[in-house]
Amino acid sequence: MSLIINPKSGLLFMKVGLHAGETFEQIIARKRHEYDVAGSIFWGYGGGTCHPTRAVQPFAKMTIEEGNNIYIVMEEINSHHPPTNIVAKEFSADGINWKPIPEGIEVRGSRYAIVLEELQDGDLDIDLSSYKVAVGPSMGKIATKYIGGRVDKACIALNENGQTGIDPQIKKIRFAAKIKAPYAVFTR
Amino acid sequence: MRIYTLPSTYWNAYDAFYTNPPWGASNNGQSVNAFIKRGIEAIKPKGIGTIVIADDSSLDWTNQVIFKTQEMLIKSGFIVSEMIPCLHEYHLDDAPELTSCCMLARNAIEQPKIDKSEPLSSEILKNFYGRKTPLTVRYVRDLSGLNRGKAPDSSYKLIPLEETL
Repeated sequence: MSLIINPKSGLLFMKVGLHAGETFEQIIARKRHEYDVAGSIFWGYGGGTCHPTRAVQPFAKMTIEEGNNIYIVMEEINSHHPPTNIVAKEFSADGINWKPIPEGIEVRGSRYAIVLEELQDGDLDIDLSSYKVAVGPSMGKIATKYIGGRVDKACIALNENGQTGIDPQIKKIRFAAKIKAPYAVFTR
Repeated sequence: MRIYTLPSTYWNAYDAFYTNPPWGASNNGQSVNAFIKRGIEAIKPKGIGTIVIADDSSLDWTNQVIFKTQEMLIKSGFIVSEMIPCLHEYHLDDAPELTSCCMLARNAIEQPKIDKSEPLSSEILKNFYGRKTPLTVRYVRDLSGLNRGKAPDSSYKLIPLEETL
């Protein structure tokens, strides 16, 4: 089955895999249950490349104002992440006002979380050379030149300038989900 | 930086200023210029300033911000007396290869001493830290109390040695 995403959609590209002692399959099963119970998914993440208020939220608001949607697209990789039993108790959209994590949602070992609609599975090929970084100090950089090394996630948008002269770099996406307000939150 | 105005105590009081301001990537360098403006207000005639801003020829926005910065300096009576391009790396997670330049500016045409410090306009504040990322925090209050410089008590627990015979 194909995943269908309008090319003009904003994308939060993320490499995913084993995290906090759970396999990717276990995480997917737990997150699907989370959606069934709570009607939303909090997808935990960390690092400095997709900060909730400095990157994801502005990117989401810009994309939606332009009449498009924003999706998380996940590329599965082999990853190493130490087990943890730290579970977030509170979340905040602005880092100032905190609320209890909603009933049925569990975020493990993560400082931030993306807020998602239902997870969709299927097959989607994304050519990163057709996308550029949409927000932050690397804004305008072609995604293939940005994602790599310790950069494993990015807010990207279709490069409207077309030809970049850069070799295609196809990423196989198996899971995606629409990102919904408040788009990304802090957790603690 | 005082957002609304620079208090008169600091007007024309110093020999030099140094600033490493926000990028200014999403407001055509106005975030950078806001910090330089306060620096200029704070220095004496013939003073100097050092400005550290992003400099990466592969990113158009850095060229535009450097241009706007130099334009602002010239209009304020300064010349760029020295510039060391691509001097430092920021080592940022979201821009690992981004480099910065170090720009030295010298007051060449003496301006009248200031008698007023203008507040920053709401237009400048709107995209101050990036598109749709306005300046919203007035200041940061240090809550560490007497524990300043130490790990917060809530972040660790002391486990005593077992009793020995």
